[in-house]
Amino acid sequence: MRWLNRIAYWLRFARHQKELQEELALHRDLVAADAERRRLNPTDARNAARRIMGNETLMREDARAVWLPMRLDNVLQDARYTWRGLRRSPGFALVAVISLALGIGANTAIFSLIDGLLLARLPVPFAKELIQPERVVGVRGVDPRFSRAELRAMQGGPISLAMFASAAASVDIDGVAATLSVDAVDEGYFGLIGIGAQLGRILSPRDNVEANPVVVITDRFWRARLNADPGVLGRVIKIRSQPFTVIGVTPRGFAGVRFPAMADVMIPLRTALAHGIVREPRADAPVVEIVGRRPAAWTLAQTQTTLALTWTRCCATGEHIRPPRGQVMSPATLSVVDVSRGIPQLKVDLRGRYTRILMALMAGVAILLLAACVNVGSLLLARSSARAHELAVRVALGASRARLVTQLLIESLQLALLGAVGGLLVAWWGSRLLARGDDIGDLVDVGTASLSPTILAFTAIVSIAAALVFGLIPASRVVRADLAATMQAVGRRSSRRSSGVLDRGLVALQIALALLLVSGASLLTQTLRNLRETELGFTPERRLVFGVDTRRTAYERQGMTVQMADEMLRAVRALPGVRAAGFASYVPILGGRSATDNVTLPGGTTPADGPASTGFVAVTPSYFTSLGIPVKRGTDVDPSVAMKAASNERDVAVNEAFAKTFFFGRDPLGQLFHDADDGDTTFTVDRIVGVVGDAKFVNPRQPVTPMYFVPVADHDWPYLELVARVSGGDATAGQSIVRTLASIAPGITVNGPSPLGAAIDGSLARERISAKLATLFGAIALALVAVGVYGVMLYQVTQRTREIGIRMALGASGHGVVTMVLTQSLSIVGVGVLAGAPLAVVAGRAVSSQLYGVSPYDVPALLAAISALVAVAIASTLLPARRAVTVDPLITLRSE
Amino acid sequence: MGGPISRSVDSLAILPGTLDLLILRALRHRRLHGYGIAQRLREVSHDVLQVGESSLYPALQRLLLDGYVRAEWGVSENNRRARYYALTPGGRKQLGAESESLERMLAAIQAVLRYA
Repeated sequence: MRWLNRIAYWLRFARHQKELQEELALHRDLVAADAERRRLNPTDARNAARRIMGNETLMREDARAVWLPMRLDNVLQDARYTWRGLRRSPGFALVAVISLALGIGANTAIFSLIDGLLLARLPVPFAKELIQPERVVGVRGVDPRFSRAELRAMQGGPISLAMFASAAASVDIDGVAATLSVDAVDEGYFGLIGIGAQLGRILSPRDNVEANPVVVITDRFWRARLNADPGVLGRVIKIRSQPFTVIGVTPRGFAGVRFPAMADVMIPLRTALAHGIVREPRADAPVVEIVGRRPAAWTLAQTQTTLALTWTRCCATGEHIRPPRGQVMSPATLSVVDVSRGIPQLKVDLRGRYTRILMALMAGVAILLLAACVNVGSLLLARSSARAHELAVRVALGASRARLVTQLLIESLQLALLGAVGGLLVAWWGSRLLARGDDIGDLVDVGTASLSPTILAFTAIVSIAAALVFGLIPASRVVRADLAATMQAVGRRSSRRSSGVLDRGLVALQIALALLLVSGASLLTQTLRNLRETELGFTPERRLVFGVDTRRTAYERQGMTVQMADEMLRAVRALPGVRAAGFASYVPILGGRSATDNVTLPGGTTPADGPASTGFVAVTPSYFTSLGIPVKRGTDVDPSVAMKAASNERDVAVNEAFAKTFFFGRDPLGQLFHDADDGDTTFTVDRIVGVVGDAKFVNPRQPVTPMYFVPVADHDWPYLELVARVSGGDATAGQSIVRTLASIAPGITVNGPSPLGAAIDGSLARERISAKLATLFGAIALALVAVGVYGVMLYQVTQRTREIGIRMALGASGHGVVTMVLTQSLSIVGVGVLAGAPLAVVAGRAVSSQLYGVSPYDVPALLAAISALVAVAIASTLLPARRAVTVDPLITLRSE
Repeated sequence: MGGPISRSVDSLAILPGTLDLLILRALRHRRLHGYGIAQRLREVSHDVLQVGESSLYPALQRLLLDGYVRAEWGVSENNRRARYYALTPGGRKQLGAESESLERMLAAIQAVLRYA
């Protein structure tokens, strides 16, 4: 109740003050009139009244203090005062705010990426309850797939479960076809997830009827492919040539339960099975994944125990886990994992890939913010020195030091607040910039990430911490300084050397931090350049890759046959603009089906470290030519000569690494070796007929491994990748190839064209982002150094105006003065560089796993960073130096 | 003038809140402005209690904050604008409760002074 009254009082504060004054005036008059009645003369009466009244100002303050606690009142007063002070020095305020905005903004931008990538939960209610059961099927492996019967047997307990299956299917919208990601969900799915539709409705149990197939599209699909058409409900799209009616759109941000969430459309599971969009080869085939919700009070361990028990009782088939040698077999069991942040992809741990680099970046921006704080702190120091006189007067009038420190801290908080607002703008703009065109844009919906409460809270905490850091620097000086001395006129203009040490030390610190960031930037940029130029072993330019897939088409049973491959190649080669073409099971960077086998040499000899697992790729003739891999010795692979009828022999090619590993410099041509599958007893004898150059098949970073190349054989491959070398400048070659392939095998799935060059760039996404960001931070650090050096040198010059005046009066030239200023500036830089260089090396070692082709001890890179800093420092010293030179000795001496 | 030494009410600091209580009592049957309250207290106590104005107005503000009195602008005897204070129902209740406890306290002090 009381605080309500307080607030009401505050709202009319000015009026209340006036009223109180009027009341007191009346009281005083009445007292005076009273005294007059007792026969005192008017003047005495008035004075007597005043004496009885006491200190009116103090009384008004006391009256006010009833309403507003003293401290809060002081704080508000200080706030108004410092705000006025800031407005009076816009230059300082602007520089300080910009420094802070850059520092805080960079931190917020990286944090928002981290939040979106690592921390953010699925956009569903109570996401932390979501779990997924998996079968533990081997020492290494878990399998999240179950059969529909298993799920139904597990349902009914306290843990709600629903099933779904993801598939890629060709979706046709108004004649335009594309391969999209389809999530087929069961009737309990949407209820379990707990979301509704933003347009239309979500699936309901009666939608399982096959007669009128319906589909719910995701928001991302709706925006990307249908332009957020508000009239989308009722439209018909064809999934695998089957018409589906759109009945709803999921809420913004929801695209399935995986991470990254990439589902485009969602259809009922039964419909998907009926139309072959999800295949169920037999009734008990494990085709669905299960997502569940544990009761809120249960722990993950409890959930796992319960579900495992249920599953073991109903569904465990008695399969056992294959143990490594020497260990006891154990029965297959169930494990339950938390998927509140989405189900991660099995093969590629996207989170893991980016975690480390984002953490390194977080450290980098924290350093940047520290540098910005140091900058602002030294600016505040310079300013507080100028106000030392004013502060001394305040102390003399009775202000406690605590009060002064509070005032300075309030000023810092105001600057930090402005910096935070600016920082949010910088972060918003910055994270958009980062996300454009890189992998991160797919992973994190930058739009929603920008202003979530988590981000705002983070920004607030960072700003307050920053304010405390840079605010305490001038504040501590106030507490320690001998303010009485500053009251004296001499003290006002003295060139106390001691005061300069802190300022210059701070700038040196800033230079050290900047050196760290700049050298880090140069290391990462060099890494990127090295990776781009690294010897790949093949030529990526003008190469297009197409995936030809027989799965789920009429050709599925036979797979890719040699005859079909031949036909396709002949037709494609005949096209104008196509210089060469070849098929393979695996292409560099873009992948395919990777396969490894154990290789043994005849006579049972194996290389020293045991049976070598080597990669092998099935190829057709002219695959190497298409890629630009030179055939160094012997001939290319030729399937028509390949399999000799009676024996299991075939002609293969190997790469140089293979030749080196297994044949140690002997001529490998004509040599034989065996290859064998894990546990497979039939093996093939391979005769080496050709040696090809080494090529990096996985990514530019990985060193070349031994590989051998077998001819494409029938029934082996359900899909193959076609590499076509096209003449430059022909943009239509890709489309004509697709059409040609489709005409030879109508209905077959053709994915592509994917330009190989772009794929390589894509594989370097992480390095690109790191280099880009590090350069950005390095540039910001340099800007902060420029401001810092300028500030402190200007202050030094102003402090030493008298000294400079005397020097010039005594005959020093302008040249000499400039030299003096520059020397001082360079000495600061020197200290900073000495401190920063070892820091830079340490930091380089910390990220050495990210580097390629450049070591953290790289001297040229460090020297380059140092020279950049020196150049910046000199440039920003020029203006203060000029100011020093223009000092008129007469004026300064006269003011003595 | 001579007579009993006028004590400023600050000497009543031994019993905190006493001034607030006295003000409430003064307002029990009538509205008064600030000076009027001080005068009333002086009159009834025969000039012993001369409320220091530096205590009076903060006390009045306290009472306003607590909601025990309310204030309105009116016209004083000599036709000047003055702020009149009156008890609120809450103030009346507070007055009753506090008087009782103060009287108990006073009786206790008296007993100690007489018989201890």
